[in-house]
Amino acid sequence: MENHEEFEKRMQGLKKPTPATQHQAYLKVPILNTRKSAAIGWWLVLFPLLLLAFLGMKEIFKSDNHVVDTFFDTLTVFDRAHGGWFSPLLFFLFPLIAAGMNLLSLLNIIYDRNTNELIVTIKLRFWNLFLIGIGTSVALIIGFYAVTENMIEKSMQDMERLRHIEHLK
Amino acid sequence: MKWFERKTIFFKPYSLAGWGLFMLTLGYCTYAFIEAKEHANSLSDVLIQWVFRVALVGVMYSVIAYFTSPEE
Repeated sequence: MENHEEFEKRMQGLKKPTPATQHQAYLKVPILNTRKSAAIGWWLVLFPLLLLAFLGMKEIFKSDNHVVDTFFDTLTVFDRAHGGWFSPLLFFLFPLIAAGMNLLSLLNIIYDRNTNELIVTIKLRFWNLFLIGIGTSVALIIGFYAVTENMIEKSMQDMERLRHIEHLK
Repeated sequence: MKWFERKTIFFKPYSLAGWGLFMLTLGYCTYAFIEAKEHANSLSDVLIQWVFRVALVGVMYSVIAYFTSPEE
């Protein structure tokens, strides 16, 4: 009996341990699933990667086989059949969607009412970040190429028109 | 709605609808190979045209599977 009381006293006298890490104050719910987004991301950047692989093969093996030409020929056939939107879809929109989906799967946005703040956190997952990088860079490069190509074409047309006017004078 | 389940970057059919779509995709791949073989001049042309079409149908299949597979 005495032992029991002594034990109780000893237990009551013990100090409460303080946990080293605090619990997360918020429940972080990602907008999209990271693994599923990575899986679909790979499929969406498949065509730019396929093109890169063909170009790499041509460069490494120094072969004269018309792999890249046939690839572009096939693209042209599809473009003609579908009204010209096919290549922009594969090389601009799909990579952009892949980058966007992977970004949304890594982002967590929480609004704190007390401090009136938006807390944005980004999960560090290699393959998702890699896909964001590939998707964004492909879309940027293709977009930049399309804009410059369009500007060059317009300026060439203007020059042709000026030459024609001068010729008439 | 669970038609597919994800295995790495691929989506495996789970239900009857999933298997139906998978068989349709396989059928299209076979048809694309036969069609490419009829129109192309060399084996490399056949393979490139076929790979292109298979990749394209693979993207479509994956997009459908993405929306019909459960959240992880």
